[in-house]
Amino acid sequence: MTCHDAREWLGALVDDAIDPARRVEVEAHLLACAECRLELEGLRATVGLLRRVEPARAPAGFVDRVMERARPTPWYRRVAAWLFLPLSVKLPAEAAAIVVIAGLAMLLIDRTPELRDAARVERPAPPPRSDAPSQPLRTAPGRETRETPGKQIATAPPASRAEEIRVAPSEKPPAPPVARGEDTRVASSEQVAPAPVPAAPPAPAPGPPAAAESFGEKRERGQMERKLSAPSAGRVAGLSARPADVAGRLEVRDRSVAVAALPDLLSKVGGSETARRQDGSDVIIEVLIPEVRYDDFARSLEALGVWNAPGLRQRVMLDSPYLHIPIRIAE
Amino acid sequence: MREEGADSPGFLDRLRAGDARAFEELVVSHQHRVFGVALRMLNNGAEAEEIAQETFLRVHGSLAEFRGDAKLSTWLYAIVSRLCLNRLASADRRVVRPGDEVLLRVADTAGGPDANAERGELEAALHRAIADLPDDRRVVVILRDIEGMAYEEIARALDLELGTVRSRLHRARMDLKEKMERFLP
Repeated sequence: MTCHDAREWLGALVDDAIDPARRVEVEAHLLACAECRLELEGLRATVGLLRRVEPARAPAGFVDRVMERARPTPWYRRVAAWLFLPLSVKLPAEAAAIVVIAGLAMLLIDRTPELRDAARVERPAPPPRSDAPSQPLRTAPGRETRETPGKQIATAPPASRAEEIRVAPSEKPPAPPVARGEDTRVASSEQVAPAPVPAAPPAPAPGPPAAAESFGEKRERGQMERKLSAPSAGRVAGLSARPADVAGRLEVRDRSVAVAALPDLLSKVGGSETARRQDGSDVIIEVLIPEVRYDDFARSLEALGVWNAPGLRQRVMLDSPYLHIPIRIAE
Repeated sequence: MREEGADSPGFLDRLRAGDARAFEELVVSHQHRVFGVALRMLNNGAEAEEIAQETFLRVHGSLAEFRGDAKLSTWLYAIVSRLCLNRLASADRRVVRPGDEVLLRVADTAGGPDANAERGELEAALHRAIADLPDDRRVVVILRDIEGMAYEEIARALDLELGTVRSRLHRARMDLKEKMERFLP
């Protein structure tokens, strides 16, 4: 065993923490090596100094302080501690909470169509340009579309049919005239769809809305009620200047009775008469009918006589729920 | 409660059951040794008390998990040693102020003024020598030569190999021997 090896074990020898075989080797080396014996004596003296160090004493009240901290905190103290957290802790926590809540709200609005519609800002319609060129749009065969901004109707009726969406000649299907012998103005202003289109959906049932009515349903109903309110005089003028949506012929036994009964029928469906004229022996009365009440109106007319309307033009209801109908009353 | 009884099954059961009186007995019986390790490791009285309190609170919170494989005192030394080493390694370790320095005292207080002056010098030199040791060696020499723990207990407390404990202890003692040369016979 070298001195280096022996000195590695001197500490263990001092502490009597060495296995017997190793002890024999180290002690054999010490017998032969005076320097290592000196090293061992110095080590023993150092350890002796360390072991004479007086133990430290915990400060007075240490046990009480530990027991106080170990005692479970009552719930109201925990709440108070949270409430009175330093601002350096509370402010970042609150800011993070606000960001999370805002993110969740945006996510909710984005995923809920009704909320998204409600949050959308409706832009006012651009002012009408009387000198603006018409914007012809092509539509699919069998569909006829007309673009008539609502604001334009309410304020200034379209001056001409230039605002109508024209169907390309090649795509326009050959359509027979709606009513033979009808008033030329009506006939000329009419665009007839190739096939009759079902009437508008039935009028909503009267009475209070159901309790379980959704936000979207409420909004839709409100819009419909606003649309069905009686049109103003200016609006009537604008609507009546439009081409007819349905041209019909009512054959009755007594024309005067039918003419007299018509205002009552109109009031029942929320319609109004816009023009009246004589055409030979026939009377032509132009009316505006809420589209959703057209079926009711048609049934009322059939009670008076034979109502013959070749079909309701398919329209794109962008602005008005009213149908412009010239009614030829003949005997 | 004497420390010898700290590992008795009955006492451990009381601790695990949350007996506040048993925990208080544990703190009373081990407070000075735990505090002493912290004081000599950190060389600051306030920090030492903070670490010693934290040691007992951790024991209090983990008593249910204590299986009793090691002695309760070994567990306490393990916790206080690790807390001290972590504190010493932390960046916000406070600078030790001169007034906080530990004054080690030798047991023998007999003798005249000259002997007291010499003893005072010895205490200061020993204190400085211990404080100057590297942290990993200082903790071993404190646990062995001041607290009197066995090699195996130190190895378990610090999660070290037995040979590592022996090696660190040897180097620590050699450092101290060199620095305390003039006080040695």
